[in-house]
Amino acid sequence: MAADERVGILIEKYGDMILRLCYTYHKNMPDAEDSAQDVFLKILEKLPEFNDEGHERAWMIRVAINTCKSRLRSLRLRRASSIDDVDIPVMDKYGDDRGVLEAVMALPERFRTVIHLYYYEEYSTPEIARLTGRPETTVRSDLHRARKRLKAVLGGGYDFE
Amino acid sequence: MILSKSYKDAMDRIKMSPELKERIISASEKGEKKRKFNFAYIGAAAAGLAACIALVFTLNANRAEKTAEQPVEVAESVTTIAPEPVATVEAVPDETEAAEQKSRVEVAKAEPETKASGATARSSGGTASGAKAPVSASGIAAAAGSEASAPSAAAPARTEPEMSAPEPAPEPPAEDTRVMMAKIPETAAEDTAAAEDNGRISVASAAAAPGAASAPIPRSGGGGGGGAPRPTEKPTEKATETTGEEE
Repeated sequence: MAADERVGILIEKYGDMILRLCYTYHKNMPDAEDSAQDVFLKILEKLPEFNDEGHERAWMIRVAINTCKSRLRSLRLRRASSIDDVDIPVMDKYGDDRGVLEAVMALPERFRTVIHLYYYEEYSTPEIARLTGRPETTVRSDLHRARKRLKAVLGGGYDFE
Repeated sequence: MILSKSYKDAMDRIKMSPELKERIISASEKGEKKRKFNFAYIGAAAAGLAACIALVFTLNANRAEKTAEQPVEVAESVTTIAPEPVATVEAVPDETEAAEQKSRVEVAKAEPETKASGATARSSGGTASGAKAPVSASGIAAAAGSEASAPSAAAPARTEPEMSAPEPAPEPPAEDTRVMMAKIPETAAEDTAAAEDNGRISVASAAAAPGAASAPIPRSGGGGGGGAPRPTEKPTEKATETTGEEE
């Protein structure tokens, strides 16, 4: 199989997942798209052989996290104004899902990643700890604090299970 | 409301556009080309590195050869202190040839000894002393053959140039010794007349082999005098002694 064919298959399979994860880091689509492109280029450079689909998925997530972190670091070095510094108004008053997304995007980076991997990718806390390279206790405490903040923003109308 | 469900619904709206997919695929193709170029560059660099490594190995090999030559020079300088250098052994290309030559030399040496032993046998009256001669000659020849491989054996090599003169004899001297050995018991058993016959046979063999005339075939009697070297248990020392006497 040629490399570009394999990249095409991986884009179809994991493109959306990576773009969403990148969006949780950058909180804007242009940077998320650039990071997603970098992720796939890195995959093309390595093209490793995976044991199973879970291994492949975890590897893609790990590469995406590292790419987004390095990109954010370079943006900060260029003294570009990060969107973390801007207060995003929570639009929960409209009652749609966009309010939840904006509430999550208003959280700090470490909380956003944990919330995304836990609620969207449905990883357990040990798996998130392995993916992010942080201790499991730290991940649990981060998840607890993120829920607390979301409760404070969104109110008591949400079930956080 | 469940947070996970509402968060999933919000995230599901984020999708990769076809433009972005095409952009990524085109970028990956460009990256592939760059990678191929990198492989070519890496190949050229690897070839250069291999050439450098080969050069270093050859230099090290030359250095090792030079260091290996140095102890040999020291050994030669040490052997010059010895009576004879190893050069005589190096001059012999093959060990078997050297052994043959030395056996010839020792047999030529053994000839006077057989005569001498014959003389002693006359005095002692035993054939055993006459029978000892070929054994000692062959033993010395074997010892000379073994010494030819050893570079420190300078003394046997010293006798070689002296005794190499009778080598151009057409007949091998071993036959002469056989004749001699065949006659020695007779001389021991018989009287002086038989010894005269033996002398005649040896003279006849010497006449048949004019090149071997330098070998002391005719008996001088009286303990093998006449300057003939006597091979003993330590032939090298005796050889040097006799040569010293001759000188």
